[in-house]
Amino acid sequence: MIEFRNVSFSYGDKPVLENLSFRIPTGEARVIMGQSGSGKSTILRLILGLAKPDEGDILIEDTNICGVRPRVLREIRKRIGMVFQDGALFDSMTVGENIGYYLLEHSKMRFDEIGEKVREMLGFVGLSEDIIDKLPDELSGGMQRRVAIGRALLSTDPKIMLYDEPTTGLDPSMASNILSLINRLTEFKKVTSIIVTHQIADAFEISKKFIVIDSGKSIFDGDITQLRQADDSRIVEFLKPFRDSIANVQKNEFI
Amino acid sequence: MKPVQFLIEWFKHFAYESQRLFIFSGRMVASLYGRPFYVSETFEQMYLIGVGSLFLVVLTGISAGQGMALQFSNELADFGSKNYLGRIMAIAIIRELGPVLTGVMVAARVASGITAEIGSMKSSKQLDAMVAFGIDPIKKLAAPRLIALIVMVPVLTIVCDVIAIVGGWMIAIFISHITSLTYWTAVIDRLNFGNLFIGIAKPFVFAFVIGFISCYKGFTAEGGTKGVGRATTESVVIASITILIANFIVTKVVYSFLRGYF
Ligand SMILES: Nc1ncnc2c1ncn2[C@@H]1O[C@H](COP(=O)(O)OP(=O)(O)O)[C@@H](O)[C@H]1O
Ligand SMILES: [Mg+2]
Repeated sequence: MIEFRNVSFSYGDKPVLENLSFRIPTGEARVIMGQSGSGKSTILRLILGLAKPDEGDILIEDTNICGVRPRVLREIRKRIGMVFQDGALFDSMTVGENIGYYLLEHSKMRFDEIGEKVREMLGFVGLSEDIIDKLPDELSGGMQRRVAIGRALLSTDPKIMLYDEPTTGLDPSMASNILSLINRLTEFKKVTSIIVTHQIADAFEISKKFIVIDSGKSIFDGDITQLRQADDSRIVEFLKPFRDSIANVQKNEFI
Repeated sequence: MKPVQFLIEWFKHFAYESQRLFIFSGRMVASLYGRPFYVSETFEQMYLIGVGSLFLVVLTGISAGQGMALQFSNELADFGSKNYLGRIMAIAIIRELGPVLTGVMVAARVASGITAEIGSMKSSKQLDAMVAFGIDPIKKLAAPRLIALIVMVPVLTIVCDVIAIVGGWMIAIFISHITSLTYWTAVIDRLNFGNLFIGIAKPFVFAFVIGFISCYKGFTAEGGTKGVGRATTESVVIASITILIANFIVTKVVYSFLRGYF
C-alpha cells in the first residue's frame, strides 16, 4: 500500500506539490498523469525517500517514511523497484553490471551465479544475451528502458514498482512492448505499481484507475468512466487531444 | 549603491557556499570510516590520478627546475657564489614550487574530471539511482577519490621535486660548470627535517582541498549539461585559488611551530 496524506513539497521557495492525498492498495496499479512539470517525478522521489515532504505523511505498507531513521528507509527502499525517467543507467558500466548492480553490491553471490541471474532477467525483459557486455550508450532507447526495468526487478524481488515515463520517446511498437511487460509484471508478480506518464493512450493500456495532477494538485482520482464524465475544466482541457482514444477504450469495453 | 549591493550579495553567497562546502567535507571525512570499503574503486582512482598526471607533473618539474637553475646560476655567478645553487634549488623546489605546481596541475587535470564525472551522473539521475539501490554515493564515489588524492598528490609532488632538482643539476654541470659533487652536497645540506616536513605537509593539505572542492562541485551541480560545465570550471578555479591560499597558511603555520628545524 502507498498512501499520501496532505503532502506538500517545494524546491526552495517554489511550491511543487500542494496538499496531495491518494491511496493505492496493495497489488493495484495506478497511473499518474499530468503535464510536464506538474510534479509527477517528484511524487516518485518522495516515495523513495530521495526527498522529504515539507508537510504531510507518506505511508508505505504500514510505515510512515517521514522522519524514520536512514536505516529503516534503506530497508524500505529494498522493497521498491524504480525505473527512472530516461533509465538513469550507470553509463560507465556494462548492461550486465547494470542489471546485476544490486546483487554485485549487496549479495555474497558468486560472480557466475549473478551472471546466471542477469541472463535470466535479460530474457524476462525480452532482450538478447548478446548485449550483456555492451555499454548502455550502444543500445536503443527502448532497449535501455528494458535494461532499467531489469535492473529494478533484480534488486530484491520488489513489492512496489515505480515507473517514471517508461514509454516517453519510444516509437509506438516499442512503447506497447514496454507496456505489456509492465502489465505482465503487475499481474504475474502481484506488485503495487505506479506508472507516471503524460501519454493518455498509454495510461489506458495499463490501468483502469488514474490520478491526474495539475500544478502539484490532484484534480482527479478515479476510473475511466468517472474520467469521461468529469466536468472540471482542467480535466476537459487535458483530455481534449485524446477524445478518440478514450472513445476507443469505451467501445472495447462494451464488446 | 549598486557595487556595494553586489558586494554584499556576493559575500552572502560566498558565506553560504562555504558553509555547505564545510558540511559536505565533514560528510566526506565521515564516509571514510566504517563499512563497506570500496577497495577496487580506490585503487582504480589511484591509478587514474597517479599515472594520468605523471606526464604533466614530470614536464612541469623539468621545465621549472631547469628554468630556475638557469636564472639563478647567472645571478649567483655575479657574486661568485655559484656553489650555493643546490641550496637555493632544494629550498625553492621542496618548500614552494614542487607542492604548488603539482597541486595546481592536479587541480587542473583531476578536479575537472571528478566534478564533470560526478556532475553528469547527478544530472542524469545516476546518483538517485544509486541511493535507490541502497548505495551511499558519497561513500562510493567521493571517498575513493579522496583517499586516492591523499596518497597520490604527495607522491606526485615528490616526483616533481626530484625531477626539478635533477633538471637543475643538468643545468649546473652542462651550462654553469658546477661539479656534480658541489651541487648535490649543497642540495643534501638543505634536506633537513623542517624542509622535508613542509614539503610533504603541503601536498597532503592540497589533496584534501582538491578532493573536497571537486566532489562538492560535482554533487551540487545543477542545471543540466550547461550546469555541469559551469561547475567543472568553477571547481578548477576555486581549487587552484584555495591551493595558493592554503600554501601561504601552511607555510606560516609550519614556520611558527617548527622554527628550530630549518
Ligand atoms: N532539483 C530541482 N530543483 C528545483 N526545481 C526542480 C528540481 N526538480 C524539479 N523541479 C521543478 O519541480 C517541478 C516538478 O518537476 P517534476 O516532478 O520533475 O515534474 P514532472 O515529472 O511532472 O515533469 C518542475 O516545475 C521542475 O522545474
Ligand atoms: Mg518527470
